[in-house]
Amino acid sequence: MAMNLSKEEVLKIIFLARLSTKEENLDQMINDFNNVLNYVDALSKVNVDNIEPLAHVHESYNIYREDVCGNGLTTEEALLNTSDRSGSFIRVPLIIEGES
Amino acid sequence: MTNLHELSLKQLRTGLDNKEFSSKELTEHSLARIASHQELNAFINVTPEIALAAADVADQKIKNKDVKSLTGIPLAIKDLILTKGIKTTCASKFLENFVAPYNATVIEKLLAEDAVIVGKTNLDEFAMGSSNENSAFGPVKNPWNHTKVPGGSSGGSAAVIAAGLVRATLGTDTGGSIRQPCSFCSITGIKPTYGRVSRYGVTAYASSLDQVGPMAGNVEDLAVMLNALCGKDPLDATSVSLKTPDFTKNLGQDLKGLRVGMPKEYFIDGIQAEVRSAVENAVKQLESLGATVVPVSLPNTEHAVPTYYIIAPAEASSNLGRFDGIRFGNRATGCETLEDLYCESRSQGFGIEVKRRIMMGTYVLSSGYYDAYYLKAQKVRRLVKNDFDKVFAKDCDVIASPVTPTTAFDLNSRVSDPIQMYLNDIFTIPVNLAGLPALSVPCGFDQNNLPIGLHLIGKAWDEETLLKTAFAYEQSTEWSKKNCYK
Amino acid sequence: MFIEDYEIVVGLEVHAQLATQSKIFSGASATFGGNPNSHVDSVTMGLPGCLPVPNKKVIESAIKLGLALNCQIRNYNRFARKHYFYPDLPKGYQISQFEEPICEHGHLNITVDDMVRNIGITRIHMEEDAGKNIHDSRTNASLVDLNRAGVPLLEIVSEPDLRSPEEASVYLRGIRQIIRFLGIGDGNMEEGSLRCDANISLRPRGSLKFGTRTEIKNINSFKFVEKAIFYEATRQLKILKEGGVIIQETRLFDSATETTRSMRGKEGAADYRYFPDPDLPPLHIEESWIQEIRSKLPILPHQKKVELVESYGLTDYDASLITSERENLEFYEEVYSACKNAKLACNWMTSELFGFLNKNGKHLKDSPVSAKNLGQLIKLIDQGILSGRMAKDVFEEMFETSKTPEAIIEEKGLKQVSDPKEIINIIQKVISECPDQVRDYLAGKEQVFGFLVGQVMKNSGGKANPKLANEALKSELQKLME
Ligand SMILES: [Mg+2]
Ligand SMILES: [Zn+2]
Repeated sequence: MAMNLSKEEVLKIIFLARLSTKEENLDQMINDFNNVLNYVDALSKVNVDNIEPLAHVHESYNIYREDVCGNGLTTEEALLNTSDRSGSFIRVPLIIEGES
Repeated sequence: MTNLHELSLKQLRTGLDNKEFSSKELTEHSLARIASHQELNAFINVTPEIALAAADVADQKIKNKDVKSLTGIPLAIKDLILTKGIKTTCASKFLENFVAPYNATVIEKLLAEDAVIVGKTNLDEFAMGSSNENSAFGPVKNPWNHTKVPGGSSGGSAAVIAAGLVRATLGTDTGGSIRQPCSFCSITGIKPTYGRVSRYGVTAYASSLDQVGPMAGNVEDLAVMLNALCGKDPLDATSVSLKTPDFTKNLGQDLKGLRVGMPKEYFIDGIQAEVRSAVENAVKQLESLGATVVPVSLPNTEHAVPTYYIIAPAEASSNLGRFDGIRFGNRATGCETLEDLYCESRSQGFGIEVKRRIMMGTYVLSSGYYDAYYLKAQKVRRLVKNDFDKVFAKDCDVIASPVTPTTAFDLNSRVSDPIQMYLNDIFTIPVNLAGLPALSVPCGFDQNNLPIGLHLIGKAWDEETLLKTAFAYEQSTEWSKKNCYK
Repeated sequence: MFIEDYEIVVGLEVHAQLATQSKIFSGASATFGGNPNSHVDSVTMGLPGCLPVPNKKVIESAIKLGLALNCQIRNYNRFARKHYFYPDLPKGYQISQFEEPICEHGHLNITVDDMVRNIGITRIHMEEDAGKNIHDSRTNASLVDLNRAGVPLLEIVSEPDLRSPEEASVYLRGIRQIIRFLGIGDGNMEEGSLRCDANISLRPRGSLKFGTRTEIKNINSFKFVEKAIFYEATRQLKILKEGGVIIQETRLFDSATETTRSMRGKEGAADYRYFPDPDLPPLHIEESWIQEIRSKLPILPHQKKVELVESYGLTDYDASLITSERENLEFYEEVYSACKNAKLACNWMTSELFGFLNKNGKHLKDSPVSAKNLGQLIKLIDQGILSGRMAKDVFEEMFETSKTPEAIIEEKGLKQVSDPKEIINIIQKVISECPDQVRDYLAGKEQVFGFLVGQVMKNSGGKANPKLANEALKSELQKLME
């Protein structure tokens, strides 16, 4: 089923991943992407009938914690690396309704 | 004191406890060697003040006979692991100035043993790579030969031991990132069973595959380090409640009755001949130590690399979503819209290989492709795991193989060919897919004096057998005693 | 409900915050409010390396609600990541549940216009709340506060079974009532601890096929549920009647204008890339755990209502009023257990107490009259120690001072005279002071009796037990006749 994605399709992926479509070496990126995609397409021929997907390797379950507070950060610790602040808020460009 | 860097952790412990030298002297020695080996580019950040202050505290404790396993011993940490108050860059431009506000659990554990942390080692950006060339802070050189790569992604953590700058380090292993650089640098390192060591505070690359592990100059040191790191962490739901054995306890036991499996899929054409013969000789050596060798088959081995390059990028694309430039990390300036801020901050901050994997991961999870790629890969992952389960259930106790198909390759020789680079991890990747423990121990050199590693894979939770086997092998050969110290 | 030839079809997605101490996946405080970015930790901030660990109370709350809404609890369920970029979503994904939610296939019965309707519950799943963005167009910036990020939510998704704005509103109130009865959340729409999105479509009467739907977001009060649905249905009707087509889209309800408007761009770009969260091992809900939770479930409002009508003899209306809120019921039960008179307890609570609370702008939880004291007051009436009139005075005093009825009676010497001897003394005095009226009564003018009772009450200073006084007067007068 190996099939190259068009530039337009790859650009959609780039935006979905919030990378820039204005990359310098965009053509190289698209080319590499298609090469790797063709490589992993090798799996399409593997027979996996009746095989359950493996998401958690040790099949452990029911790991939870009690409802207790602790291990918090102060506002200053939490915002230690925040470059754009307004008081204890984090600032971002004005969000236009419906964006994202 | 010039040979302090040649002592093992055990010897350092004795020397410190007997006041033959102080932690301060030891730490200063380590810092001096780091300073005189800058051309390796193995550290991203060295923290002399913090290290010397910790050494002073350690000396006081030694004076008071309040001694733990690592009291006063200098260690270095892969810069993927968060250290409170110290920069943690993940070798990414995105996190160039990121100061962690909390410690990873493994750091807390090392500090609880009074270890002295001297700095943060270089790596492939976000642990994505096999050569340490994908670092925003430049590649690391292999101490054995400066024109070669040290391996990756824990390249810095391997190089600093090989060069005799510190005696033990932390690395992380998602597809071979501890074992492959160990093999390239003639040191030893273990990827524990998935769930054995907490991932809390370790920047996630591929959450279902990542595991922290120690790297050291010899197997006994490795066991000492592993003792300090293991255990259930309430902050990591995937860490497992199991009693941590004393990993040094079985070292020195003989190998009678041990069954060593040799998977035919791991001894294939295309492996460098010297690598193959070194590993075959190592297996013979194990046989002479009492083990029996059995041929085994892991038929799904060939599917492991493509499986990995679907699962790991998928998880990575998700894990790296938090690097959006808003709360921490690189924030592009002059962006008028939120979308611009996201795209520019990320595009500026991430290197090419990270972008490749984010794109691939985004694609394989996207609507319409999930079943064909991600779900399919998860099913093949089970096939790979089933292969191991089967042979461990009836055929053997450990599996022996090469760590990598070749010895260390030339810097810049593979960066432009991602698939060629990916194939480097063909023998290490299946282990992560199956969640098993595995280690690398030196087993020879090629004609260019480049190191070769023996790969030992164990049953889940059976690090003890791996260490016992590696220790017996190491003690019966000279490979681990060879060094390239300058 | 039909508008002209069309039927309205509505399904609700309700988000209910859970009243836990800590967040769903970490130990940061889940308390409402606080200074911006003060209820946070590494997990809330989405810092590198942090990992989620689920809060057991959230899982238990989900099971409780699932049982109360007649759901099947999935033995195997797990968390999934839902990806999108937004400043209030620190990790770039929301931890939610996707293909394997904890509860499925439930229902809630609602009564509208005396008709009982069975509303299907498709699923209930656990997820984390997002933070808050405050928009400041003056400085051309939005401000992010992550205190709410990671607060536990249950999302309750209904089948498209609702057929009118009113049904939707009754359904939503029913969900809220159960959440409050279970004590798992406070269901406060104004504070945002209960939120509701509505999927609305129209179809020709009699048609079985659903029309194209729109999803209305931002309905943030009970008042607006009906208004938003009504507006949207009307808007769709207009389009359909003009021969147009409905565009499947997300629309925002504007409470100022009571209209909805399109959130352009939201649909085409969204690709949430769900996958099972590798950081969170799946949950296996054992039958024994479900049974344990079931055995501790409080009696639910609809069950209690039946009991109040059938065993306590309350009217349907009163029973609804008392079971409308968990606090009401708890208060009522305490009043009842102190007085053992179901009807009086209900009357005093719903008319006197609610009346006074209303007048004083107070909530039941701040009532100066405790349930126990109100029950005690009713008991005193029941025992004939206080007359109804006296009790009203005592109640007023209780409301002002929070004192027990006994203390007030003691202070004011208000105790009712129920000693027959004392009453007979008073009666004899009245008979001797009012010879004319007594004669008239004996001559057959029975209406004079009321006057004589009044005199007895007056002479006792209002304290005579009216029932006893009545009976005793009758028998004394009878004696005179013989
Ligand atoms: Mg929803
Ligand atoms: Zn939701």
